[in-house]
Parts: sequence; C-alpha cells; structure tokens
Amino acid sequence: MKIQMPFRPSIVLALLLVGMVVNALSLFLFVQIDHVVHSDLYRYGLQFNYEWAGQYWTYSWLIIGSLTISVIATGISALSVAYARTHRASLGLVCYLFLVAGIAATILSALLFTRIDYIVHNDLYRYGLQFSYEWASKYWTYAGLLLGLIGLASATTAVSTALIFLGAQTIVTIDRTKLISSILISTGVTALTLSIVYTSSILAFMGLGLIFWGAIFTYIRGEEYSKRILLDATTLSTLSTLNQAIQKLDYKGKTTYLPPRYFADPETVRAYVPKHNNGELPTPEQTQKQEPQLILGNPDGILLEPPGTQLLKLLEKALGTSFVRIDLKYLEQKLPKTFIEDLEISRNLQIESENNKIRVTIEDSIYYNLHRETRKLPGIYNTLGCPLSSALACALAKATGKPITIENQQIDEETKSIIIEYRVLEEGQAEQ
Amino acid sequence: MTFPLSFWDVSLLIAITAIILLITSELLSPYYGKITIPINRKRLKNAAMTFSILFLATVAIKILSLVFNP
Repeated sequence: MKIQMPFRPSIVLALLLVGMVVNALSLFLFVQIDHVVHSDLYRYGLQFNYEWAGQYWTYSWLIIGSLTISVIATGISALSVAYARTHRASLGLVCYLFLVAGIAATILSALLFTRIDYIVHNDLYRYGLQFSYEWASKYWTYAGLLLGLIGLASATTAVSTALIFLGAQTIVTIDRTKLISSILISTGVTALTLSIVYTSSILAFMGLGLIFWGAIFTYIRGEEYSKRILLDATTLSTLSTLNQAIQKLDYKGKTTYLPPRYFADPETVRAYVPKHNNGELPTPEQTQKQEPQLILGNPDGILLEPPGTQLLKLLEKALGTSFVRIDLKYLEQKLPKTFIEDLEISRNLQIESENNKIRVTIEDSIYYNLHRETRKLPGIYNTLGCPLSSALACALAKATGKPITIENQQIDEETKSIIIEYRVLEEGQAEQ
Repeated sequence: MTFPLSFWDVSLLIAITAIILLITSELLSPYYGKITIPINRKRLKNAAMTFSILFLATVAIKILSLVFNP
C-alpha cells in the first residue's frame, strides 16, 4: 500500500500550538489540584507530616518539571516548523528529538500523577483526612480534566510527528502485515507494562495475547501468488512455437526422454525426437559424441531440452536431492508431498508402477488448463507433452536411469484430473 | 510490582493460541482445505507446531514438579 502525503506545515504548526496550549492548561490544572491538597484538605482533618509531604512534593515538582519541558519542547518544535514554512527549508533531526522529548515528558507526567493520586487516596487517610464529596468532587474533576488534557496533548504531538515524518518522504510504502504486527506488539507491550504496574491479570492476558499474535503475524507472512491464467498465457506461446518448429522440420517419431547416462553432464535429461515413425534410439556413445548439436545425423533425430526442465529443477530443489540419487520407490513416496505441500502444484498425486508402465494421476493441478490447451498442439502433446508431463518424464528418466516415453495422456473433466501413462524402455527395446 | 500471571495462566494462553493455529493450519491445508488464501502455509504449520510443543513442555514441567515435589 503506497501513500502520498505532501508536507503541510500550517496543519502541523496548528497541531503543535494546540499541543503547547493544552500542555500549559494541564500545568494550570495541576496547580489547582495542588491548591486543593494544600488548602482544602486541611479543613477535612488532614495533619501535616513530612512523611507524606516529602513524597508528594517530589512527585509534584517532577510533574511540574515534565509538563514545563513538554511545553518548551513543543514550542521549539513549533518554531522549527514555522521557520521551515517561511524559509522553505527541511526539518532537521533536532525537531524530531524535541517532539519525541515532548511526548515522553507528557506521558511521564501522567504516570507521576497516578502516584500523587495514590498518595491522596491512600496515604493521606492515615494522617487524619476525612472523606467528603465536597473536596473529592472538586479533586476528581480537576484530575479527570488533567488526565484528559495530557492525553490530548500527547495525541496532537504524536499526530504532528507522524505528519512531519510522512511529509518528509514523497511516497511512503506501508506494508500492511508489518503495520498490523507492530501495532499488535506495541499495544501488547503497553498492556503488559500496565498490568505489572496495576497488578491486573486481565491486562496481562491481553498483553501476552497481543504480543503472541504480533509475533505470529511477523513470522507468518503472505506469499507472492500469481493468477493461474497468467501461467497459461505466458507458456502457451512458447509451446506453440516449439510445436510449429517440430512440425515444420517434419520430425514424426515418438519422443523418448533420455536419462543422464546418455550425456556428459550427469544431471542432463534430453528429449529425443526421431525423424521417422519407427526411428531407432541413439546409443549413449552416439549422443555423447553429437551432444552439443540440436539435430543428430546418426541416427536421424533431434535432441531437445524438454519443456519441463525448469519445473524438474524446482522439484529437485524442493525435494532437496537430485532425482539421479533416488530410485522409483523413493520417488513414489516423496514426490506427492513435494507436489501437494511444498509447491502446491496439485491437490493430489498418485504414482503407480506395474512392470514397465508407470501411471501418474494428478488431481486438480494448476497445470490443468495448460495441459488441456496443449492438446490443440499435436506436435507437442503427442511427443513432448505439456511442461508438467514433461517434468515428470524427466524425473522418471533420472530416477530409473532408463529412457522414458509418454504412452498415453487422458483428462478427466469431472475430477479435473490428468492421467499420464509412461513406459520405461529396457535396454533391448531402447536399442531397437 | 509483580507479574500478575502464574505459570498455569501462561500455559493456558499458549494452549489456546496453539489450538487456534492448529485449526487454521488444518483449514488451509493444501490437501483438502481452502488454498486460495495467500499465506505461507509452511510457516503457519511451523508456528502451530512450536506453540503445541511449548504447551506440552509446560504440562511436562508441571508433571515433573508434581512428581519430584509432591
């Protein structure tokens, strides 16, 4: 999510001035509260004692000091913004520091006031104070107003800081997941801190829960997905070109996927298309000799990189091993998990082998539409297959170490399944 | 100032989180679940398993404390 936020110094300036005035009013209200404690409460039996007064004065001076610092910091920030507005200059780091100091001082004053409130409502009763609504209602009104104003001052200063920060950048990119997780964690930490201060188990549950979920959201991210339709649109044109080339060159034979032992590189699998229908397969020596060439002279045929090569590499990467190092049994056991859980290619995958035939059923695959569309390209469909059937043929060639042909391909429209039958060619058959 | 939750409270919170994550993980499973939600299912499963193990660890700690300090 991208946000374009132009810097508006007049709004920021207004907010900062409001914050400064509200902070000054808070200071005034605190002086009123102090007046209630030091004059009114003596009329309700309060006895002066340095024990409570010492603590009270310390907190009192700290509140006055922090509110004064807040007023000054906000004022300096407002002056910086006014200067930037007049001279069209950018705001420096000092402005941010003053704003943060202002917010921190305001929040500190609120926390200190809770200590003073505790002294008034607990300690002073031990020094003769008698409760009465006459002084309490006055005190509560001032206290409520003071806390409200402190909250308002913090909010206006925080909004000003955010506006200045967002305005400093022309375009701000906001990662929604990051935003949600950081909000959850920061709220959780605040709730947990407050739970310790007020010894509240509800706040502690809320805080821990929010922190847990914030951490989970940080860890579990969304994944980049693209629409299935894009896969068909980008792959079909390449397959169509390959189909045209094979048809134009007039290679009619049945395609065989040759295992790595036919090539110098132990990881290579190539598709061999003979020139004629009953064309014989080359021997490993013949392919190794003519390997860099696309068109073989002896025997007549073409050596192609199969359309499923990259998918095969992806499968190997997900499985964590090369198919050369595993056998057919291992492939039957492990490939379904890679297909379904790791790469989410299909909802189900079944591999059944009987004698020299291997039957693969792929249910609800992302390649289903592409496979169906490839049927319109006979030069490819009947020989090389779609990228999915080609990748599986490569995997089988690597795992068995024998040449593989695609015998039959079917589509079950009802279950959205692709059924592919492969044949493993034995040495004698291969040589024929 | 003390932390207001006991060991069992935290254990309960972990158990609830683990149950929610395990159910979500199962609902979004690519075998039969709703797979159109773009989320890293592997990480979700890992988080669910981690919280489940954490909860079981807290139970084990409690059982051990009962056995050794009856």
